[in-house]
Amino acid sequence: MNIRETIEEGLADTLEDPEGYGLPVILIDPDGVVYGNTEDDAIEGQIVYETVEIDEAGNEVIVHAPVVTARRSSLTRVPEDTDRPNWGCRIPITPSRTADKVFYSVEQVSEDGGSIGYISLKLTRAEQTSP
Amino acid sequence: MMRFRTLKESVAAILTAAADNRYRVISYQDQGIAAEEIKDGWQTVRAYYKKGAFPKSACSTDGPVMHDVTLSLELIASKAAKGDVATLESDTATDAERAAALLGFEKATAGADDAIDELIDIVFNILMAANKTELGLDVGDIANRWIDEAEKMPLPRMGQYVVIGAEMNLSCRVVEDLTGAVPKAAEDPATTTSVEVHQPDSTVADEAPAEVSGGN
Repeated sequence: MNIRETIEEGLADTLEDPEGYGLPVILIDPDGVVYGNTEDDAIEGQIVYETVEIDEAGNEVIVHAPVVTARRSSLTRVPEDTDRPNWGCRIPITPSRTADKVFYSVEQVSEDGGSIGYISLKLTRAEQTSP
Repeated sequence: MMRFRTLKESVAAILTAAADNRYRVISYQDQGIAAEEIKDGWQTVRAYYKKGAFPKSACSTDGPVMHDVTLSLELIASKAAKGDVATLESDTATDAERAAALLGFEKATAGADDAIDELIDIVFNILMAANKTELGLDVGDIANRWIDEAEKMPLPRMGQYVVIGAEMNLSCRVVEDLTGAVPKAAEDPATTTSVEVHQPDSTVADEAPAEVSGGN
């Protein structure tokens, strides 16, 4: 097993371990098919809820902009940037396995970790349109 | 008070009077604003003095000074993505319903882009209206009012919101009557800035330097 395969295998501990950073993630593809909604089909990933961004005045601002990182090979269908914005994602509203899952739209897909087997999804909270 | 300051207040007053809950007016150069503060209908217009020029050829040495003023009108709008979230969070929705909901999503960037275009349209029409050539100043005190530039600025998204801005330059020439007096700060002690000037202690300064003994 080469070093990339070793790292990819290590994602079970770094991304997916329910006792570690792993949290349940549900993906919805542009055809409305839901992935990760059942135990057989579960998707585990690491979720970073807040990031630090620099505002237009140069100040550091902590903003709510979750990023989901998941093992690429665990996805039945892999989100692509070309499908944007028609991918959706449901994640726990707080970093707890039992918290309610809320919908975010997938704003950006990054395969920076593609060579070692993971993919990152940058999410945007969406608001309900008025009826 | 120089007339450019009156002009700035007058422009802010004109924009405020015409706002009709479409935007807020801030008449100073502010630091960053949280995206939540300006989202959905709470767009902001900031009007502030950006630069001035005093062309010597248009002035007399002992008379009024011509002041070519540029006011910056900074417009900011913010939007969140919108769609049928309820369907996408429902466990009973069908694939077709979810696909339709995803397809019907309005991207935050598209909404913000439309919002800033609309804001440029509104502000331009208010300040370039035929009855606003004096921008609230007296006839003869101001000339050549013109919005000569509008530029959209891509701004980083702030979390769940996309923030987009634009800047418009409002230029005009005003007449500055020189009084020779230094403007006085506000009378309210709470807003008065005191400056302590440190001068050398005269008793120490006046003392003769200590004698230095040395040599023969």
